[in-house]
Amino acid sequence: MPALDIRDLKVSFGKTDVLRGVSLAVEPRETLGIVGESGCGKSMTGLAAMRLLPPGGKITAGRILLGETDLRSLSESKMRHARGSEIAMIFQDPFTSLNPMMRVGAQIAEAIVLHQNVGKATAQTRAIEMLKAVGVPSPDSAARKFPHQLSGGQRQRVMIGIAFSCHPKVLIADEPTTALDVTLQAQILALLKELQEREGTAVLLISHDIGVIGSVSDRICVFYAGRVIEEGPRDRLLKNPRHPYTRGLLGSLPGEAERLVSIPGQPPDFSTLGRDCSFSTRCAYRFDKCVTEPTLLPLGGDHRASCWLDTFPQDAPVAKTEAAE
Amino acid sequence: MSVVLDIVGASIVYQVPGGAIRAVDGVSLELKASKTLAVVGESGCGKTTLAKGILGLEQLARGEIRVRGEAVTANLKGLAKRVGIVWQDPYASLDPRWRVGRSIAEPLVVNRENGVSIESRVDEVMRQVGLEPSMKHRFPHQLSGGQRQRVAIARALALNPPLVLCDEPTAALDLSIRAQILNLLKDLQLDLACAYLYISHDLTTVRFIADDVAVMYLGRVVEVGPTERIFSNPRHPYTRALLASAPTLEKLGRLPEVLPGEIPDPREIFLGCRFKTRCPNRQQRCDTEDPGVSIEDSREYYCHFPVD
Repeated sequence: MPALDIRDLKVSFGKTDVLRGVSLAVEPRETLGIVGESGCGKSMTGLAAMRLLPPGGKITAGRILLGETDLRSLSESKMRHARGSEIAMIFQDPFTSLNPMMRVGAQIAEAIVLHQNVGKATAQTRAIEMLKAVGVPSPDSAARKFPHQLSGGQRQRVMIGIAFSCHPKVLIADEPTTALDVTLQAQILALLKELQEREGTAVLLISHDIGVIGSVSDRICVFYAGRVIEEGPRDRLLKNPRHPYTRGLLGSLPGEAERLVSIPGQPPDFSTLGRDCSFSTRCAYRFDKCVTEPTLLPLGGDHRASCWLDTFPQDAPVAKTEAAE
Repeated sequence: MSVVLDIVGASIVYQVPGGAIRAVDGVSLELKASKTLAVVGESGCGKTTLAKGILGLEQLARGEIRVRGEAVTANLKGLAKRVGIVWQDPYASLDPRWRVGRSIAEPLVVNRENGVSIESRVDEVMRQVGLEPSMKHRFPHQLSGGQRQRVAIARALALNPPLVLCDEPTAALDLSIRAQILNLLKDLQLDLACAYLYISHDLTTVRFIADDVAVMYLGRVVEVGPTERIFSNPRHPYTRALLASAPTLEKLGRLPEVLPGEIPDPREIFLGCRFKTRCPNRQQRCDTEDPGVSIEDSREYYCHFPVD
């Protein structure tokens, strides 16, 4: 059974739907990579699952199943208890998510006291053990430091320590290495993997960096305009992408070619989306079926894409241009 | 081919409580017309400080930086005609209360050139970067991220400088937009024969755009040479570690290699090699003796025990 199972989730701000029916599931010990460009809804999905949407945002439909519990049905106080102990989240910038006025040891201990029914002294000892587990050098003295006294990499280690301190079943990691240099990124990805394997955590890894997604994910979801437009096992999806948007994204990565393939145009404005496929205005393969938006259609082997091309290849025209600007 | 940028033994030192930081420490580089030299390295390696030195925004403690043969400090006022700059975040580098046409025109107005119509030059340079001249009446917030970066590039090119500094010009952009900007930079170089000093931490982008690459660590260049040679066969252990820690699609399902440790406190006085605290090849000699340059098929590196 999946550790987290999101079904047909819709989120809106006022009249604008920013998540338009997102379904995804992640098993214990599995890493599900979520990739897409700014504004596609990948972070919003994480925040909705934590029930931490920014002001004005509302979940209007769908289910967020954590095991057998629908998080939407929990009272705020029950949800507060689930946050941290059952489902935890880490963010891109540890400097803004840590409390600048509180020593880092106390910040880890705070979570432990809240969720684990132990005294302050025990919590402090466990906090130091946690700092050691996440690889912060000299954990005893580090526990007494404030966030600004640590380097960026060490701050992210502290965040990860807080997230894992209460042994959550699901961890949502939203761009956890984006603010870090590449050698520190490699250290943090290795640390996340190590803790995940030890704890059996299900990880939802949100990133715009396809390289990061490709190196740590087991399965991948590609987001576009508030929906999952392609999902599948890592190698299958990245080696044989089927949705024109996924192909465009992979084509825009610098490789051997002299010129990069870029996707023409801009992502759509959510308030103007109609019934037609949300990618159709930028799609080189558009044909008459694209006036309705397809659901995720099976392609075999757990690979699915929200595109008519593969289901009706005989109707599809030959691509007009690949490298349009 | 003419040398556009010539950096000889440049050092930039910041005085801070507890010592001095040699942010750039004896860097020598050369860049020719129509070529792109990438400067790569992690936060704190000195790559942006070096750019500030080229722009005359930081005083050199030692050495010299010449653009087209003239020291930058000798003629700061005329420097804008010789060096253009594109920063990382166009939203921060463009005045939000100015229509973008005014931002593009500003260097033309300040460096008034006789006989040139500012209006027609703005239109021309906007077309060159793929913007409709009618967009000049818009404000930065009315443009997309990619369009804003095109405005920033137009502004950098307005005076047709022989050298353009690009400081992480695509780091704030989404993947598909990044591809458009990288293609544009390549096309512009073919048309205008300008040289780019391309500062970035993104190695895949660098491999695409740069002819040569200089790898910096703690204020020093540790390896410099033709891009393909360095990427396919790095000699300095730091270059190798940098390349191995970048996740790419060739390494699906494999965690990138880990280089342990972090960049040390730059206030320390360094004896021997600067990379020794993190180096897998460290031996006794590295603790005491600063490695000199080794030259090998048009590539230079600074290491006692290089990677094979």
